Amino acid sequence: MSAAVEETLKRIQSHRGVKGVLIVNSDGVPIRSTLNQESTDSYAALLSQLAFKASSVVRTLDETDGLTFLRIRSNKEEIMVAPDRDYLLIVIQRHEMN
Amino acid sequence: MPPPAAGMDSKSRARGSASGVASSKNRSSATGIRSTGGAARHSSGAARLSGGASGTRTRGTRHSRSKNGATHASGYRGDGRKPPVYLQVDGERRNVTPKSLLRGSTAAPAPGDGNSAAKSALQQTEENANPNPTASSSSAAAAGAAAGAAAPPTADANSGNMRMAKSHAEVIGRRASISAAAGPPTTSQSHKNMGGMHRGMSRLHTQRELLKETGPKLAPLEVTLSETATATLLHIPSMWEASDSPNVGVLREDNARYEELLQRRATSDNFGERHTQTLTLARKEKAVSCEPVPKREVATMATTWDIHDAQMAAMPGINRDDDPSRRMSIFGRKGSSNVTQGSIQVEDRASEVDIEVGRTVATTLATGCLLDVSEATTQTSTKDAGVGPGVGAPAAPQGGASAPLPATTEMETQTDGVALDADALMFQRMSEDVLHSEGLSSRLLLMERSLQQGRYHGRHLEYRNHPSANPKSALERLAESMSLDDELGSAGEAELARSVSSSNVMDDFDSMGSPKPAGDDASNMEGSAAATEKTDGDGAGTSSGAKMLDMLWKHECVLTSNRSVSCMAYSKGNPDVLAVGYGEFYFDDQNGGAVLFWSLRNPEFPERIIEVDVGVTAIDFSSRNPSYVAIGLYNGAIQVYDTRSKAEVPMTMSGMGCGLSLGAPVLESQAVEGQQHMEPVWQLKWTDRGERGEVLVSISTDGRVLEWSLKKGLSVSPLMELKRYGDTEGVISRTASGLCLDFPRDDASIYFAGTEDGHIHKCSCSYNEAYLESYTGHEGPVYRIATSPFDANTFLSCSADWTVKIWHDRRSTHVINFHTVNLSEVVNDVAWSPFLPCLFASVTGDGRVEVWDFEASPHDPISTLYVDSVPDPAWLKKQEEEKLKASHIGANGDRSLPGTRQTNRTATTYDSAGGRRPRTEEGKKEEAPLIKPALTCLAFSDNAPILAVGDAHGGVSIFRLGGDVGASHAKSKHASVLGESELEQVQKRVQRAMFQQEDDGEA
Repeated sequence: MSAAVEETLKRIQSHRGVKGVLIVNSDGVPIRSTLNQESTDSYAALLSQLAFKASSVVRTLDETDGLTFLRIRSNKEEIMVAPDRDYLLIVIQRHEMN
Repeated sequence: MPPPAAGMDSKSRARGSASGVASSKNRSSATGIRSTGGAARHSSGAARLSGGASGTRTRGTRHSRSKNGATHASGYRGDGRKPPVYLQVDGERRNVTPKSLLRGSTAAPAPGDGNSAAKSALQQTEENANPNPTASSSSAAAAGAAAGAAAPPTADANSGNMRMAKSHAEVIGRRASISAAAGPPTTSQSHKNMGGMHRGMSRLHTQRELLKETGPKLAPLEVTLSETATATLLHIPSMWEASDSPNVGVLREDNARYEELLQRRATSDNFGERHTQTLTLARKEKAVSCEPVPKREVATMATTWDIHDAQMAAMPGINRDDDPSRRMSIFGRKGSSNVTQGSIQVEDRASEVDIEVGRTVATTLATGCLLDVSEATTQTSTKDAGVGPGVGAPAAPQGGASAPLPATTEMETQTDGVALDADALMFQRMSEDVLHSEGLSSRLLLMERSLQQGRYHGRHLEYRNHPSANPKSALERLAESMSLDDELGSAGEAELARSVSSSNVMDDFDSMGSPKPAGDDASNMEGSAAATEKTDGDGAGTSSGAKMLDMLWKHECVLTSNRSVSCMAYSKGNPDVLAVGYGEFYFDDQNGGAVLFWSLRNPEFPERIIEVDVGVTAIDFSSRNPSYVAIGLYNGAIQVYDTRSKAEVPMTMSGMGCGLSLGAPVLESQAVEGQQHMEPVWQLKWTDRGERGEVLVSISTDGRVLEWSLKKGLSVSPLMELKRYGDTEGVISRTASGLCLDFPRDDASIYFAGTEDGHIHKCSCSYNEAYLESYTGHEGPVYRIATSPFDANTFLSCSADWTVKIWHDRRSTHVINFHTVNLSEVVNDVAWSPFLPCLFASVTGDGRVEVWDFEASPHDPISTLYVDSVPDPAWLKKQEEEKLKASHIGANGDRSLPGTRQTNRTATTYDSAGGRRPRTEEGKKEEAPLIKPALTCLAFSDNAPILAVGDAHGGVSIFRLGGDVGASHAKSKHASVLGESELEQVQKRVQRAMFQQEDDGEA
C-alpha cells in the first residue's frame, strides 16, 4: 500500500464522526477494516449486495453508465460507498450529536 | 359358427376394402389396444380404413396365432391408392379403440364397402374364434390384407415397455404375404409397415415465425421449441420384459395360456401344419433397461448491460479503461466479458501462490520446522496490517490464517497451516492487489471529498452565493443544525433552528441537532467565525447584521505548518481551484517551498502538491493552457508545471504529508549565467501576445524584467533593465529592484513595474531603453501593482509605507491615497474585485483585511476585518523542543500516541500545524502568546464573491463578501464578460469616482 493511500486513509479516519473505514473485495470479504469483527462482517455482506444492486440499476438504465458512488443517509449515520472494479470502499460516518 | 362369407372374395368387392380387421376375440382386440400404443394404434386404424382400390386379388389367409390363440393386431393392406384416405386417417390416429375401429370404418370414404368390410371383419373375428383351422384359413383368406399388417401386433412406439412377445404370427396364404410384402414400396404416401418397422405418425411441432414481410431488414427469428409426439423410426421389440414391469402379470397369464394351448394342440385335431412365408420379426434376445435420462434445468438472466459488456469485450481495440464495464466489473457476473481477464489473473495469481507455497514448504521441510511458514506469513501480513496506528486489526480471514503458530505446534496442525496458508496467501495477494491498485487512491479522494461535502455543504452554498444561503433560509439553518458541524451556528442560531423545526414535521431531527453551548465556539477547532469585525459606521458596508466579510473556512493542513503564504492564484480553467505558493520572504528563514492546489471540494487537504526545495515567491496560471501553472522561486528559477500530470511522489515535506504530487516541471528555466534571474522572482504574469502565443513575464529584485517563451523549452529574452529613477547620487547600484508588475487589461505590450525604491514605471515591451512613464509617490517598496480589470488606465499599488494608492496612467502622481488612520503596518497586497469596478481589498502586516469602495467611501475602508489571532509559532516551536527534550529524558509520560483517540489525534494534528489548540489541551499548558498573523497576499475569486487571504503562518482564509457588497456582487458581471458599451459606462464611472474623490480630498 502506497504511502499516499495510507495517508489518505488516515486523514479520512480522522474526520469528525467517521466510525469506520472498510475495504471489501469483490466477493464481499473485508480486506481492511477499522471496525470490530461483527460489524465489519455485517457491513461488508450487506453493502456489497446493495452496491451490486445499485450498480445493476444504473447499468440497466444505461449500460454505458456506471455507479461511482453510493450514499445512504440514515437517522444515525451516513454510509458512503465508493465502488471500484475489484473492491468497495466504505466509510461510515456518524452524525455528531452533543 | 357362420360360414365364411363369400363376399370376402376380393372380386366381389371390386372397390371394397381389401383390408380387414382380424381379431380373433373381443378380448383380443382389447389386448391389441393395450399392447399397441401410440403410433402402432393408428396404423391399425389406417389399415382398417384403407380403401384398397387395387382391384387385384388380394387374397390371403391369415392365421395368426398368438400364444393365447388370438390375433390381436390389426393390419392393413398396404397398396392403398387413395392417399386422401390415408391422410384423413392420420388425423385421428389417437384413441383407436374397438369402437373407434368400427366408427372409423364406417366413416371411410366408401361407406357401403366399409360397412361390409367391417361386418366381414367382425365375422372373421367370429371365425377366428373357431378353432377349426380350415374355417379360419378361409376367413383369413378373405381378410388377407390384414395379414400384411399383422406384423406389428406388439409394436408399441411410445411406451417404453418392451412387450414380451412370444406370439407368433403366421401368415397363411402366399399371395397375401406377397402382396403384403410388395405393397408398401408401391405406396408412396402411405405409412410403411415393413418387417415390423414402424414409421411413426408423429408430427413435428416446430413452430417457426419467419418474418418475411420485413424484407431486407434482419428481423429476429423466433424459434419456439416444444415437445413433439415421438417419431419411431425403428422399433425392435424385445423378447424380454422386466420383471418389475406392470404388464408382467398379464404376460405371465398369457404365457401360461399359450403353454396350455400348445399342450392342447398336441392332442387336438384343430391344429394343422402349413407352410407359409412370412416376414419374421426381428427380435431382441436381450432386454436392456436403463436409468431414466437425467434432466436438469438451467436458467440464466442476461441484462442489457451484460450484453453490452460482452459486445464491448468482443470488439477489439476498445480502450477498456474507459469502459464502465471494466470499471464496474466488481458487479459483473462470472461469465461476463471481463471475467475472462479476471480469471486469467486469478490463475496467474494461483500459480504464483502455488510456487510460493511450494518454496516455503520446501525450505521449511529442509529445516524440519514449519515455523518459518507462519513467520513469513505473519511478516507479510503485519506489513500491511492496519492503515495506521489508529486502525484496528486486519480483517479476520487474513488474521486468522496467518496467526503465528506457537512453537510447540504439532506437525499435523502445521501441515494444516500450510494448506491454510495457501488460501490465506492467495487472499492476501488479492488484497494487496486491491490496496495497491491505482483506483484506490482516487476512490479515497472521492470519499474524502464526500466527507467534506457533508461538512461544508452549507458553506459551499454561501461560497457560491446561492439564494438559499443569503439570507440563510430556515431550512438551511435546520440542515445546518442537523449536520455534523454547526460550528458556524452560534447558540442563538441553533435556537432559531429549533424554533423553526419544532413546527416542522421533522421534529425528531430537532433533538438531534440540539444547540451547542455558546462556549464551544471558542474551543472550536476551526474557530472560523471568531474573527472580529469592525465596520464603518456610515452604514455603507453593513446592512441588517449581515457580515461584510464572513469567513467560510481556512485552508491549512500539516503541509502548511511553519510556512508562509507568499503568493496565490485562482485557476483560470477551473475557478474553484486556488493555487497557493508557500515560501519565506526573508533570506534567513528559507526552508523550502511548495505549491498546494486547494479545491473547493476538499478545504482541508490540497488536491495537488508541488514540492520544491526553495521558497515559492510567485505563481500564475496560464489562460491559454489553463492547466499550466508557472512558479517563480526564491533562487530566481522559473518552473512551469502541468497540473494534469500526476505522479505519486512520496512527500518528504515535514515527513508527514503525502498526496498527489505533480511530477517534474514541464519546463524549467536553465541556470545559465545572465539568463535567468539572480534574485527571487517576485512576480510572474502570463500575457497573451496574440500570434506569438502566450509568454511569461517575470520581475525580480535583480532589476530585470524577462520574457519567457515556451516555444523551445523556456527561452528567455530581456524586456527591461530597471534603472534607478530620479536622484541617483550616492547609490551603489544603478539598477532598481523590481517587486511587482502588471499588464493593463487590454494591452499586452505595456506593463507597470513597481520597485523597491517606491517608484512605479510604465514600460513598453518593445522598447527597453527608457520608461514610458514614471509614477512617484510611495515612500516604501511597492509590493503590488494591480491594474483595474475594468479600466486600463487605472491601477492600484500598495506599499510598505502603509498606504494603498490609486493611479491614472496619465498622471504621475496618485489620484487617491488610501490609508486607515490606525494602520501602521505594511500593506502587503492589494487586489481589485473582478465584479465591482470600484471595489478592492488590501491585506496588511498586522492581520487585517480591508475592503475599500472608493466610490462610496474614499477615506475609510467599508469593512475591516482582523483575522484570528494565532499562538505565536516561535513560542510553540520552543515549547515543542522543550517537550521533546523532556520526553527524551523521562518516559513518554502522558503523551498519547497520535490516532489513539480522536480528540487526541486532532489535537496533535493541530499542534503540529501550529494552529489553534483545542481546549482539552489548554488546561494543562500555559497559554501561548497570541499574535496577529501577518497577511501576505490576497486574491478575488473569479466566479464567486470570495476573497482568499493568505497569512504568514500558512493559512489561507476564505472570506465571503456579504451584505450589500455581496448583493451587488451577485448582480454584477465579471469584468471579462462585459460588452463594449457596458465597459465604457463602467470606465466612466470609475474615472468619475476617482476624480470626484480626488477633488474632495483637495478641497
